[in-house]
Amino acid sequence: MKRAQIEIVGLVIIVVIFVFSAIIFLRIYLASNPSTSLDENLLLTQKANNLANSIKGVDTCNSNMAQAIVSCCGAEPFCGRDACSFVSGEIAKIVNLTLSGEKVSVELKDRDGKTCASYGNGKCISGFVAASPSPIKGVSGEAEIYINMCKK
Amino acid sequence: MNNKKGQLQIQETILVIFIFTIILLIGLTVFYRYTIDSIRADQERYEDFKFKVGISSIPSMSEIKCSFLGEQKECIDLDKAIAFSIYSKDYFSLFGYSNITLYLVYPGSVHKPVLIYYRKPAVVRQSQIISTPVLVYDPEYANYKIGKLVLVRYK
Repeated sequence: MKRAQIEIVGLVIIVVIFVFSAIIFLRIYLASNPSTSLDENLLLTQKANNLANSIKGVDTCNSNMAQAIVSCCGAEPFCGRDACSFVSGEIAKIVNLTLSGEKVSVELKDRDGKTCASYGNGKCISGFVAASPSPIKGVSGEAEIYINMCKK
Repeated sequence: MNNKKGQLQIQETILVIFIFTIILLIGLTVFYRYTIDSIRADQERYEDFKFKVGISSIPSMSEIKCSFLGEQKECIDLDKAIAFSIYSKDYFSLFGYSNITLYLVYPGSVHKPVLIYYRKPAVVRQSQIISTPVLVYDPEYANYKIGKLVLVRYK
């Protein structure tokens, strides 16, 4: 083989290696599926919205949780006991019964943005996905519920 | 001598065309397989997304959603869900192979779970489960409860 031929063969080998490397890189890059985390966040946001809707709509103790939350923010008793401890206890029960181990933080605020009660079931290190604040109307006033779900 | 050189060049051309055809065929095969894999992956992603969206779309279906004098509310009507479970087998094009069950969990309900939809393939390779809390209206007692809507997708 002449020198020029050897060089061409070498060049072809380099080109083939380069093309194969590019194909492998593209496959790995495309297989990494960046939309998965977006889907997970959407799922968590929807769960948080559903949880907020469930908490504020459920009937309890011949009244409803919305009234209990408003009573908590108005420092009034509910169901013959302190409204805030009642609400915190019931929210803990609801979270345990309806979620599948997700970490969540629930915060109840009055119309001025002051926190009336809160609940959390664990430390979140990967960041939160939040539901939009949900307004609550009771007989004696209004409040808001904020729910954050921890990313997996 | 000239004749031999010509023959040699023709053989060389044939060899080049042959190798080129082989490389082209290999390239086309690889491209075809890659495209098919890519379409399958897209389809799987779409199915997965559709399944996850189910936790918001299923409670919003007018077949089971609460409505009071025509005004809709964000909850599941228990009686509608029970009635829907009888006819839900016609919804295969929407739900595919899956299991949709509503469990009433709060406050301490003794109501048995409502199997809203169920269809399982002959062979299950894999299954995926998601769940969400939902507000449920019980017309029998005229009150609101909390349920856990569990969706299982069979693959």
